[in-house]
Amino acid sequence: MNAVQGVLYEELENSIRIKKRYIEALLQIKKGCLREKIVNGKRYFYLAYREGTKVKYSYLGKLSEQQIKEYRENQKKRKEYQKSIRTLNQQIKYLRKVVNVRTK
Amino acid sequence: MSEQSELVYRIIEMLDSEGILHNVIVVGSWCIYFYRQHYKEADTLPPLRTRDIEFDVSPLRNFPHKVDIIDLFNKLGFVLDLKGSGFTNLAHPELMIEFLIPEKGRGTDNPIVLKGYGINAQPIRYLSLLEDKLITVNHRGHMVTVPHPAWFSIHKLIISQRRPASQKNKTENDMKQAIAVWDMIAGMGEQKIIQDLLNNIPRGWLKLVKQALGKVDQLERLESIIGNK
Repeated sequence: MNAVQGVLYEELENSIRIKKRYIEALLQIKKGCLREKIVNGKRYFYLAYREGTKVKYSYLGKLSEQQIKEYRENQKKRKEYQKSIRTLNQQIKYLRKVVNVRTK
Repeated sequence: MSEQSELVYRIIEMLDSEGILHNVIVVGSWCIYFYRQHYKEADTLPPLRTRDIEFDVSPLRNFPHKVDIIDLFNKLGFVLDLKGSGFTNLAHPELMIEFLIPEKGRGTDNPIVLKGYGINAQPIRYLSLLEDKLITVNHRGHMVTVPHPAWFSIHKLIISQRRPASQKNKTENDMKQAIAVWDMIAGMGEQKIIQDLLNNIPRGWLKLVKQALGKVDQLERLESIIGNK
């Protein structure tokens, strides 16, 4: 293994490890996005999430502004982490190709 | 501007808005990125940057204002990546953050807990050398603290000789960067700074500098400024 290959191999290991960390972090965040329904002028909330091919709604009821903010932030963070995992997948694919490591 | 550089800017902006930017020192290869912005003679420095950016956080220990650093980086999309015996590292597809602190006395493998910041810093030998002379670089309106290039160069030469054989690539990179920065200082006509520094470091450290330069046939650059010590 030459010097450049050594660096690339290290980068590959880093990308694999970081991806694992993102997956772990993603599992800590509640799945689904907040849906609002107004009935008789009152706001009620549901959590919409996908289960296989179906979209399911779980009733959350009335939420405080703080709770709404937390749900929205979680949703944003989930998207960010998913984007990072996609980037890492691209890095891993590319690095595997250049260091010539066979994927299992 | 690359996504990586933009992320570095967002980190600096965030640390500044929290009032702690002056209390962290950028060390490691990313210093070159800041030298290239600060010195017009730095055009000759290699533009290569690594994914890991290291911060010396020892000045934070004397700073009264406490901040949850992990939470701050989390807001930028970083995730926690504990390493070794619990050193706090933060990871992102574009960057990996390491928090370092100078190793004192006999040293330890255990992390140094920075109370009030939520991080465990990794003690590193010879890091104190970099704290001896610092400069500040204006990075898009934010003042970033980095070691003076002379201290950076000598430190790189020293640590290049302390790396295990398995880190041959890193050793080569250390030496390349050290010599490029030394050349930049010489090009600025400020070799006297290196001379004074070399005359004041412990003999053991000077020996490591000699050893490093000897390996790349560059011993004469040392002898021309401090003789045959």
